[in-house]
Amino acid sequence: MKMPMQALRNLPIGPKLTLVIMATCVSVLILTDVALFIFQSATARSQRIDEMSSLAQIAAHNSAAAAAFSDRDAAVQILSALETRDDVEGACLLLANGEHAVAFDRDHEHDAAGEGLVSQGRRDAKEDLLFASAVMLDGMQVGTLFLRADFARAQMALLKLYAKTWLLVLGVALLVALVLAKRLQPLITDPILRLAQFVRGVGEKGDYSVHAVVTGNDEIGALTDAFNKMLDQIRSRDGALLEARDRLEERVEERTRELEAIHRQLVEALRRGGMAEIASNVLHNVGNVLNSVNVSASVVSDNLKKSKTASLGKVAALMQQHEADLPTFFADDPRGKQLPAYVASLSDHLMAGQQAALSEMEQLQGNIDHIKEIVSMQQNYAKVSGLTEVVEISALVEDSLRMNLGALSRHGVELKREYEDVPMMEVEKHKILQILVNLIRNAKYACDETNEPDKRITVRIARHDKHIGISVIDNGVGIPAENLTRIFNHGFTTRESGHGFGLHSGALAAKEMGGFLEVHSAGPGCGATFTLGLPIPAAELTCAA
Amino acid sequence: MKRVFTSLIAALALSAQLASADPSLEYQVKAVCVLNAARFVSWPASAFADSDAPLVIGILGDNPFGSILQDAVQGATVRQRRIVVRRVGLAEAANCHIVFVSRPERDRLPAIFQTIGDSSVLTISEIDRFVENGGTVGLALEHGKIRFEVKQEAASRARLKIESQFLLLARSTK
Repeated sequence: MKMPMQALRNLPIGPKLTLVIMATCVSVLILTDVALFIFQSATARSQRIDEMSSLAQIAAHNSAAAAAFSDRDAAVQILSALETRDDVEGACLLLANGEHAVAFDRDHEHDAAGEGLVSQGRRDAKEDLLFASAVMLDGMQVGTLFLRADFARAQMALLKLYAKTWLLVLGVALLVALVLAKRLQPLITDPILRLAQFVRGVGEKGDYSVHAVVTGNDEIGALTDAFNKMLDQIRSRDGALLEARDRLEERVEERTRELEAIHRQLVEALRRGGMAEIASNVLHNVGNVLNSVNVSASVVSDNLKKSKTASLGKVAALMQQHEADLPTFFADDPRGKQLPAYVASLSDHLMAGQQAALSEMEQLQGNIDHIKEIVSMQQNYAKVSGLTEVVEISALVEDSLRMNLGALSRHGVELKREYEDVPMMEVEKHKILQILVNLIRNAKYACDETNEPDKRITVRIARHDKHIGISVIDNGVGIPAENLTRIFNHGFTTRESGHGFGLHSGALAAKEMGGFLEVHSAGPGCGATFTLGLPIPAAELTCAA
Repeated sequence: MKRVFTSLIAALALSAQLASADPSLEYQVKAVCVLNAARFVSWPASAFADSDAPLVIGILGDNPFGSILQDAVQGATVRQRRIVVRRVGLAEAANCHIVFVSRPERDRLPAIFQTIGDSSVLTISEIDRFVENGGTVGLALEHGKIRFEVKQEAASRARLKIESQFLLLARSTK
């Protein structure tokens, strides 16, 4: 049942409509005919019974004389007239003399006396009815008329007639219905098909500015109307969308401008922050160097304190005391005899002290120079951003290392340098320095966290096709893969005291310079490599080629 | 009435043996026939003095029935009227409802019919060619059976109405 229904659903609307109409017609015709037939056959049966009763009465009346005079021939003659009727199976008259006049008996089952014809047993047969009518003459019964009727044949004939008529009517009705359906169906299907075609056209072309033609005021007309309204709505919505998009673009531009301004402010703030960081680094380094200065100063001071200068005074006083007889003193006095040797040792001692002080002072001088250098470097980098100058990359790297040198040696980190020859570059020094200082310090922290004795940072300068890469490679804790992507995000940090700003601002600064800052790590415990890429200027590229 | 019916049947049951020469049996049947014939005929109301007046059957000439007819009508009615049977002369014939003309009266038939005239009298006789000579109902024995001949013209002249069932049994109804 489901499959035919599905097939019916998929049928085009025209044939479907025809099918529905035809099915309805046939159903109605069948129902009507069945009802009519049932009613008719019931009516016909009661009519037949009435009719047969009347017939029996008339025959009885007509055969009164025959019965009264016991005229068998006349009785047969009278009743034979009934033989023309299909539904009378047999007729018999019980005459006044007690004889039976059997006019006819179609079944030929009954004996001449008609006993079977009038036998009671036949009364029960459903379609075989026995009618008995008294033959009266002047108020006296002179005989009895028996008629046996068989309605089955008549009923069958009626049924056949009905079937034939019904088939004929069905055929004609179906033909008429088919013709009417074919003629009238376009009234319904045409507007639907037109609308469907129109909708398909709209869908394919995407043109919402057209309108379907409304053909009537029925539901299809309303549907077409509604569709047209929908098209209007789509059109107006499209317009609104376009407008909204334009406005959105404006707003995005505006917001971009705002963001750019904020970004500039942020960069400036970062630069200042970076400078402050460098300054603190500088102070730290200066502090470290001052430590050395202090040590040198104490050493010199201790040396001076331990100097045998006072002994020299004693020798001088002893010699002044024996000024008159110096030769005796030197020759005879036991003290005088030892004196030259003592003076010689004193002189050695003083010479050694002087040497030590001189060397210490030299170191002190170097330390002070270092401080001067650090301070002047800071002054160098504290200049206004955007200024570029041509520098040696390795020198720049060395500067950044120097700023962390104290911390690195303090934490026992071994430093390894792998410098390739790279050309001089015109760069914003302070930015690169800021990035490198940050990278080195991160590397130091990463090494620190391992608690392994073998801590190492490798700084590598390498020339690539289009850029120079400065890599800071540590053998520290490494970075889990999930953090690699967000390590440059603003606010991302793994350290408690970190602010998540360094790498973020470093990456931004690298980008500003046309370069990049990238990270590589095989995972936790495998160390990490941060590489700052700086583009090689076009001129250099051609030169190199 | 039942008794009459039974006697009728009894009489008619014998009709099959009428071919035999027993005259009394023949007249028994004929008596019943006369009585039965009376039941298929309607007289005009004027033929009776009142509603209780009996139907009079007159026997003109010799009485071939003997007492048979008298016995047959005893207690019987036709259309709720008693039946009286008596021998009548020609003069009285017109006052009867049924006149049975016996065979010996054959030669007097014209006179008889002239006397009766248009009176409402049903004339019955076993005389040959009775109806051709002006009678209404003729009785004839044919193949051992009683046959009727009816002259409707005579009946209608006498304002008698003979029912069609009866006419069906008759041989001639002209």
